[in-house]
Amino acid sequence: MSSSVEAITVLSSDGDEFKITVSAAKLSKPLNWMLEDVCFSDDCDEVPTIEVNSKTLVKVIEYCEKHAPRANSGASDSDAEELKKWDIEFMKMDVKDILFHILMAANYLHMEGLYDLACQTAADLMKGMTVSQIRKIFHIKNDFSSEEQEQLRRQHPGCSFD
Amino acid sequence: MLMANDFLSQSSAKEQIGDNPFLPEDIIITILKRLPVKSLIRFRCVCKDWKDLLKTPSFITEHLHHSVDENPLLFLQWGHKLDPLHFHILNHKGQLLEVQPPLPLMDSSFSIHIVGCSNGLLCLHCNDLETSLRFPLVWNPATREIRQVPSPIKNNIQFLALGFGFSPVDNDYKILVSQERADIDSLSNPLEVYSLRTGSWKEIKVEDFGGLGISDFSVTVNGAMFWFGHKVTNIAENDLFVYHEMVVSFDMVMEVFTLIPLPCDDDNSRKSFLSVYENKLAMLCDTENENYESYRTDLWVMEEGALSSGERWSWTKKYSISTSSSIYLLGIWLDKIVYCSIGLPPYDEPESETNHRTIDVLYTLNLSTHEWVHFNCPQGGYPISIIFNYAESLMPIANIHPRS
Repeated sequence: MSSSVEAITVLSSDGDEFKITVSAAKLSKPLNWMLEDVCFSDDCDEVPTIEVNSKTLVKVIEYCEKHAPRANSGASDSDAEELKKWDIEFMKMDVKDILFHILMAANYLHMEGLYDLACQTAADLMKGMTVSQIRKIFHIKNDFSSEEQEQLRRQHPGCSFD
Repeated sequence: MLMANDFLSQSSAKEQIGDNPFLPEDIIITILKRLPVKSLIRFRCVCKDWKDLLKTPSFITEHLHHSVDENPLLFLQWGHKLDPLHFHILNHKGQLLEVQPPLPLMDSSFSIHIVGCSNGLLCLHCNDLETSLRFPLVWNPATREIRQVPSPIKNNIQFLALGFGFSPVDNDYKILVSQERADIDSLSNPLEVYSLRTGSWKEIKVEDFGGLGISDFSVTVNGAMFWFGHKVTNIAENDLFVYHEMVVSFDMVMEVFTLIPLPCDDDNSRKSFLSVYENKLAMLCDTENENYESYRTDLWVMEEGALSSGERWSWTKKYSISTSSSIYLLGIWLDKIVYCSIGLPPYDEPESETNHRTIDVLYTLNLSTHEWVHFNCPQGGYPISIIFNYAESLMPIANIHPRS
């Protein structure tokens, strides 16, 4: 049974090894199922791979370790307040750099809290972006013909394609 | 029916830049539904897929639900029907934002009042004082879309807009009007209902109400409109008049009126307001205590359906809270009772703060913690006349979407 170990080792998609405590891993449904199914002990040579790159996995594990105590035992209001502040600091990251990777990882690992947090962070960042900046981060090409752009401008004066 | 997800499945318009991964459509939708309407309107220009996505009924509904849960707003109208139009929105962080009234109505020759508010749409009753023409308007303040509703057929000259609301059963928005009579608030035939979905008026046949009067303020919840109603019965010979008060409901699907008894018959109580609490009809009563120095507000909530008591309706008093005579009730917002001050604050404040507080102040009273919060309002010189629970939405006015 997994209850005898406190931490497990996982592999990132880049092949790097990471340690994650059992209580932190429980924040992810798939990892939790894995804990129940697989024998994790020192002499167990099977190391599961998580399809998340190393850079992202470091951040995901950092989030899990921080949130695990509260998720497992509940916490006071002041702890919740502190955690909220921590989340804000944690999410101060470049959207081009890592935010979308975190979003994908949180989705893949069924981590509701991190997924909501990352979606909200992305939405907040997008509010201040121009249309062309949005296209860039989402890899979207402007597929409106110049006639269509003209028509949209007539319907919605002031709309910008840049 | 097209689902929001269908639109983003094609990746033809995408190009890989740097290390940023392509996000699947469900994640994109989860992000977009968190954006304010203002941003989404801008992002219609990103590409055709997004433009089409932002119009899908499923996305509009998802965005609305998120907006209701995460960004519930209070829509305020200042002044009375003849005062210049003055709208504000209060958000849950306590920020008061001015709302530009629809441009065609900035003209001072209009008398305007809000009939109702549902899913981000407001229905306004407009009266052009110069021509005496009346018309209802439906307005989405977030998208700034506005549409004039054609005049009713039978009541085309003088009519009274009684209520506006969303009927979830037939997924439609309806406006109810009656003929205006000399005894202004009397409910009388012909009655007509406008459906935003079909874009047409329909007369509804109801029995004679026998002098039933209703207040000009309605509340819509769970597909029914509600008003305070009253009836005067003349007890013959003695010239005695008996005044009965009740709640009048209108079922938007069955198109029938029902008279519902009020819970209490306390002489001191002023049955001041109908509102919505926990998605049920609620009534707020302001009562002067016997010492005439203090007031209390009682909150009653109505249950409807086959109840164990055998009754069709039952009222429960949920809260009874002491207040003050210097404030007046406006309604309920986010489990809080909303008041406006007439002068002094409704609770003891430190000396320095109470000085000269004669400007309009909005107060909320949290029902569970009894905590008062105040919001200073701009000194427009007009008191707040009416409030509505509001949330920003992309809901289109034309072509209200068919049932999903």
